[in-house]
Amino acid sequence: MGEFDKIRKMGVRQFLLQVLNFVGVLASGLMIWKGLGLVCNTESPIVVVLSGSMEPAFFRGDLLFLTNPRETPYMLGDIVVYKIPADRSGAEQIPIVHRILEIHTKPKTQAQMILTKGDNNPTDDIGLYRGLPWLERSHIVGKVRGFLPYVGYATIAMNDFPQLKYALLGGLALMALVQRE
Amino acid sequence: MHTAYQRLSNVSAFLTSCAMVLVALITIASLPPPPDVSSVVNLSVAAQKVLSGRRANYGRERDYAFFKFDYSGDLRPLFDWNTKQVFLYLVADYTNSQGVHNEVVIWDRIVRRKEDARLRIADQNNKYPFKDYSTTFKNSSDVGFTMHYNIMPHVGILKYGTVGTISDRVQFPAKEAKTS
Repeated sequence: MGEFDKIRKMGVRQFLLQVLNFVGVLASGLMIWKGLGLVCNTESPIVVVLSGSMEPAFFRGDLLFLTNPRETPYMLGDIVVYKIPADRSGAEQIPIVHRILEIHTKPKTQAQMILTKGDNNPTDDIGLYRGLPWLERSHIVGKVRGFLPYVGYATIAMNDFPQLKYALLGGLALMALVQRE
Repeated sequence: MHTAYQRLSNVSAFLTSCAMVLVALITIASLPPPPDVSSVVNLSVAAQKVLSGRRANYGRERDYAFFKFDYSGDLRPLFDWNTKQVFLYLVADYTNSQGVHNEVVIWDRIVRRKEDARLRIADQNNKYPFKDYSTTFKNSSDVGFTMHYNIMPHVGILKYGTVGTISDRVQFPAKEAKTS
């Protein structure tokens, strides 16, 4: 029970300082994430591939880096991450990573009507759009710019085994409290 | 005092930093644009027919266009030590009667090995349904065709480029009368 003795010996001031440190680490992580989102103009600048529909380009657990500059039109062959708004049944919005197959640009507004397809799927995505005839800019989270394999597998493991997530979080919190520099 | 935990933490932190530096170096080293591959390309496209019909998912009756193309080219220069695959795709572009500019991929091919990168394709039909934003190709401009590629790295940024384009645009064929 040495660890608990340590906490008891620390005193209130020291304990609070450790808590502050831990919260500081969390806050700076969040700041970096949100700052990156601001620079890349996307709600999630880094995503993990969850399905095999883009194999052999992307496999489950690969990490993708996204940007979504407002003034840059999408191009054919770009790989984009999109989210279809929830329908009446309230089904969850799952972000999908697929390649752009068709773009139809309207003459006055320059609005782009987009159709996508997964490299590993036999047909295009029209059946995934929940009745929408085309994807538009508002549905698109970002365009894939960079690629890093395997690294995202940790998050998939944590989603598949939630106990792992809680164990990891709990362990980190305990360590932050106990450890003294 | 060095506990086992401290040693483990130090070693793993050091290995992580090494891996991150390595990934960064690979990314920087493969930043330069890929070599030009347009000098050894033949691309020709011939119009086949336009039919109208109804297909699942695409709603009411609409026109579908059919083209055939020949392509031969050498993509081997695109394969370097950080190339995982090359995605090759044929793009049709035209403007329809309402002024909508359309870009449609009608065929694609994933090339995963340098040995398979010399392609010779003849009399190939379009792989994906070629349809307009409206329901008809009537009074559309002629179609241009361009072969594009996308290089997927093992680690790093994705690169895009053009392989070749046809010199003269192709006219949409007249719609065939329905047989039924």
